[in-house]
Amino acid sequence: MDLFTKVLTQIVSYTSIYTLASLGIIIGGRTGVFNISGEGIMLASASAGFIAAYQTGSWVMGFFIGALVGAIFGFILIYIHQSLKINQFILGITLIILGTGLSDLLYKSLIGIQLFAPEAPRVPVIKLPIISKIPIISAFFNQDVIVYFTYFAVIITYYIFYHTRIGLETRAIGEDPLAADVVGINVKLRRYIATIIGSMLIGLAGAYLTLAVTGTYTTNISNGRGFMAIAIAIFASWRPERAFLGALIFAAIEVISFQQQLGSSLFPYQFLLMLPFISVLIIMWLFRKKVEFPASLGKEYTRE
Amino acid sequence: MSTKTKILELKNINKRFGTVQALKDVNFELTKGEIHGLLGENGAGKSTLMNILYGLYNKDQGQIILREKVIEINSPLDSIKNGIAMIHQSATLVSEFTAVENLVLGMQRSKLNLNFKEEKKEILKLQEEFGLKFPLDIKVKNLSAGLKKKIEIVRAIYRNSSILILDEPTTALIEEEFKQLLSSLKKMVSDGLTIIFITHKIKEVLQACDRATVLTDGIIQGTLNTKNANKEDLVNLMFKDQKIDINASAIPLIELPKTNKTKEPVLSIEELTTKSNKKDKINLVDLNMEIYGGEIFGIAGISGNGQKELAEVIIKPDNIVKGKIKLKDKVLNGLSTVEIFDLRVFYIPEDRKRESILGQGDIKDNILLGHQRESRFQKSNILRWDKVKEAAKETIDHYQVKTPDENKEIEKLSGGNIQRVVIGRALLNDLDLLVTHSPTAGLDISSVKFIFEKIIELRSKKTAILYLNEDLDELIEISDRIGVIYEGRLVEIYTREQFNKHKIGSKMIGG
Repeated sequence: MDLFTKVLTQIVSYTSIYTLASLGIIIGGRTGVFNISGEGIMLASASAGFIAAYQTGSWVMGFFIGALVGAIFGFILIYIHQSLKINQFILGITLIILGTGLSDLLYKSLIGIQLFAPEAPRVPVIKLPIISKIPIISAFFNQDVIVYFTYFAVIITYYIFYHTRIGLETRAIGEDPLAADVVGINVKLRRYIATIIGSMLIGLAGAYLTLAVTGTYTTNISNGRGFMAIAIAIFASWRPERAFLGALIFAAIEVISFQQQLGSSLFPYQFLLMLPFISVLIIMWLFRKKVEFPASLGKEYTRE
Repeated sequence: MSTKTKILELKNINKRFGTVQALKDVNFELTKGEIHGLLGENGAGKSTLMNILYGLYNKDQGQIILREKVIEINSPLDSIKNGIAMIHQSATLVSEFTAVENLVLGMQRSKLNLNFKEEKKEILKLQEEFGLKFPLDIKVKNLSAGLKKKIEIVRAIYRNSSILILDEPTTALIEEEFKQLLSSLKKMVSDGLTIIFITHKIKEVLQACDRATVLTDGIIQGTLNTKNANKEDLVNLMFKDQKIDINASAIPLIELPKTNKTKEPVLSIEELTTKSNKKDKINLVDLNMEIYGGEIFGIAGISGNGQKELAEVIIKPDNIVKGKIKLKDKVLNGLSTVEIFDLRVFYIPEDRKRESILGQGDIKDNILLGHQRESRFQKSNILRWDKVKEAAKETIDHYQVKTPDENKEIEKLSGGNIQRVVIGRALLNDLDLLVTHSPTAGLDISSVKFIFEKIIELRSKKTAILYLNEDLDELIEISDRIGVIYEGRLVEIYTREQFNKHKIGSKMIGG
């Protein structure tokens, strides 16, 4: 494999993290629930997923637990928001803090501190026949199962949103929950479902960090990617296919700056570490007039 | 349709919001194939009752009996399944969706393909049959209120509803549109539909309904057959304890006394053209008008034709590309709102809850708002709360605000009382110009009358009053002159002798 293909392969793998996380945010957001707790979910899932895979020796179990942790976070968010009428953003911040704390707590109490960082079984890479031999394109099809799942998730979400009745109804809730309610759509239930499914995807993104990218757990492994995912969802105007594109751009910036750190000394490494975040600001500024939001995003809906 | 079968019965419906008893032992009967008016003042509980029937609100007590069977309605889905449709006062359509998408939304047909070919055929057929034309593939946000109303009516028919609730359907419509709609509705009734028509205008009940039930303060006053009833009968039921003369549009009758206008105009606008970069703003085009002191100048127009922009450009003259706004001899272009308020100008915005008040502030805070720089309320930037309190107390007294004291959170007051505070604040100082946008919207009759009196009092003090309102009946009642605004242009100005509802109405839609 030449260097270019190697870097591109890594970019695609990182794209998966951003795509899954922002897709999760988009799915909830399309019903009006703005889940900003991605960073917390990712950290908790990264830790819990790692522990599960390490203990059972099965990466499948790791992702399962990662998604489950996401689902629990999603449930807490939507339950407290709907039943106790707490502001979504306050809840989101609380969940970020909870997830951050939980990640280290779980790891330290269940794995402990060891001389050599324990490694969990990693998700296997599957080379697709023929297509993985074509230059450039091969980078997309010489990947692990979760990356293939990501492609599938983007396509299916796009299809559901824009080609099915359920998608039309979901988008309607995000635009105007009252208008959806008066035509008989169960707004409350749909918000529950969307938030939980979305949070599960964010959980997968978290587990992916430990079970595909590094194979080990370190403190603050998510390193702000949960926040970047929010930026991607916004940049994408809450459209799944654009989120994939956005994820690809951010992953490229991250991987390239990472490669630079290893290679040249042209820039101080602190600058390179900062690069992804600076690019978020620049890209958000460039697209500031083009982005669209679901009109009810972040707003509570009650009948009386 | 003389088959007098009872289709729906509401029995002993009770509903409480916090400490307010919104509905008390309400009984209501609906006969198949009638248009049944539900008449009452703003805040009488009409919409609450119908929202209970539609499943948006839960009743505390009572029974809903449909075709002699007791049914439970806990959500709009329950009522849709029972063939009930409701069209709310302001459109409940997804504005980012097209008409077709809105019509199909929520239909329980399993569908994986959103081409809507067959649906469109069916919808076109319904449009044809009932004469309700609207474009199918344009986003609803780009359509007028009248078209939206048509979409919602077709939506009800498309779902094979047997009972249709219309909540104040004429709010954003002009006379002609209403007549057109009425003939469509009558055709639907002859096809077997039953309609509940919520309104606060007696005239509409007499015009459209077979029977009418009157509701005041959550209590049913009685049901009349409109064929044998006249305006007075309905007025007596509606306002039996109040001594208020009203006209058939339920607007208090007032007398506009003769006054002498000032010789020179107070406000003059010359060839005003604005350009805003905000997408949803209407730009004003070559607008000319003069308002004299002691004159109420009404602005008529369908909502969203530049009324808000006109009001706002006077108190915040920016985005002007051409023309002048003058107060007496002073050019206002480029001044800030603070500077303009210092020139004895005040503004009462349209959206009472969001623009007029600080909801969570108390009455004192809200009285101070806009006056906070005046020397009587502050000394070197330290607020003099004792003076504010005094002013608040005076306002409460003078404007008969129903509240325990000036420390009450303003949000907790009724609409009428909030507006009294807002008017009191506006009139705290003598004014040269008052800009007011729909000050009476949604208020009960005694508050409306009170506001009219205050505005007429202001007129006699030679203040110029710009009165923007979507309700033409009200404008005709209170204005000295009426200007019609259409797509940002002032297309015609009528003096009081020339007032004619049909002529003004047709100008409002660009005729």
